[in-house]
Amino acid sequence: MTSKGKGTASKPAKGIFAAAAVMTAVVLVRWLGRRSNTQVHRVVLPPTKDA
Amino acid sequence: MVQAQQPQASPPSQPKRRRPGQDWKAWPQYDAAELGLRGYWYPVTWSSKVTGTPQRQTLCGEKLVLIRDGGEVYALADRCPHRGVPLSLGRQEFPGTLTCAYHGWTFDLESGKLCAVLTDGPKSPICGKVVQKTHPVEERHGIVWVYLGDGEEPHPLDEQLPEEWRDGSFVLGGSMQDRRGDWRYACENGFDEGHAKYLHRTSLWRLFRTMPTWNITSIERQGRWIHRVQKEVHFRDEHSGLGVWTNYRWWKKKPPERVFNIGNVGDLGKPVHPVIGRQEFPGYTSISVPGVLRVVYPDFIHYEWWVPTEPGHHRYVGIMIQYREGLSTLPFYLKYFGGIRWFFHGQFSQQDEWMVGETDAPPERLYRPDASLTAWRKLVEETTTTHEAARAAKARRQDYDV
Repeated sequence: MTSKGKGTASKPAKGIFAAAAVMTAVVLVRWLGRRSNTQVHRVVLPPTKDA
Repeated sequence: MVQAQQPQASPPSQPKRRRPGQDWKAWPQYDAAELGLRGYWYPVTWSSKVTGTPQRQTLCGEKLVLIRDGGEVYALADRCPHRGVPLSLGRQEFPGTLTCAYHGWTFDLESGKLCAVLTDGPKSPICGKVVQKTHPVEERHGIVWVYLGDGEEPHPLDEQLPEEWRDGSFVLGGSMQDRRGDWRYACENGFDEGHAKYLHRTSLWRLFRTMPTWNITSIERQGRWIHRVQKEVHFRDEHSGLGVWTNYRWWKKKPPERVFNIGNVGDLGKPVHPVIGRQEFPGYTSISVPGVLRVVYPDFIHYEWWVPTEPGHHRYVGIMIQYREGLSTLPFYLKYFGGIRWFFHGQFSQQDEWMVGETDAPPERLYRPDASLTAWRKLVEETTTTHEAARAAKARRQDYDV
């Protein structure tokens, strides 16, 4: 059995790292948003009678 | 022989010409409005921030307590009439009410009436005899708006929101920040024609855009807004005996050598979103009472509300909108959290905060570009006269104990 080279990771491990990075980014952005009293949201207007 | 000298008759005194700029007496209502203009809706906080736990807010010098009950947000004066303790320290003992933390005085959220006194038994004779001031509240676009009046019926909030907000769905990003400085200085800074070209030339938001050096503008009124309309734009000047002044830098985008009235430098040629085009804004910067700035770009619109809080302080409410629906809104989330929040509603706007916090006028010595400032003051004067007359004629919604 050959050992893997330094700096390589299996596909599942890469996926876990990527998911963790995305989740960290989301948590960080939400935390920064709350901390700085910042929000982004959609404003959807009701359809008009003409539409 | 020495003759007594007769005192010389002094020449008839000339009426002393008052130097302009010593005070704001030319705009008396504006001068008196240190705590803001009454009878308007103000954005106070984000809807998601108001829960069943009472929270304190300050608006136009008045302390308010906000609380959510049964999905609705209520605002009451944040001072128990009994001993002056803030109601925001209290809690909800019964649905639809708020109870003071000190002696259990309990107020109905809707009417403000004292409906129970927990430390005086269920038949307390004072119940129904005290009315706490309440303020009309509306939630719109994820923001809590409070009408700051004196017991009169409010006008519809829609009359005060930007007209283009009713013209299409959009995605909204914003930041609310408590800041130092009189709200009037913040308004004047926002509509000021001159400062951006010098103060903001170093901002990261303008890192790759060349700011002009000076403009010729006129002020045009459209409905309740006044617009700064650009007539000439200059980018490089020779100052006799001093040298050349320009904001040109090798890494900055070369600005168009044309006058533009939508978007900022470098936005020429970009397609204008149909909703924005439909509004036919005469200029890209406009302001309306009670202190709302609108800056129009081809594909998004930036707003600033300067909400008076306490003397010498205000709340900055910076909002950016883009007319998008569904999945096409997603890039805006990235743009707002990745850039706009930090560079525009952040560092760029904090340069304004710095100057607004340091401004100390009057006295003042105004110069040509300050026509924008005086136009704003004049707008407040004209608007306030008619607004106050209309407000006095309105029906009362509540008579409260002071």
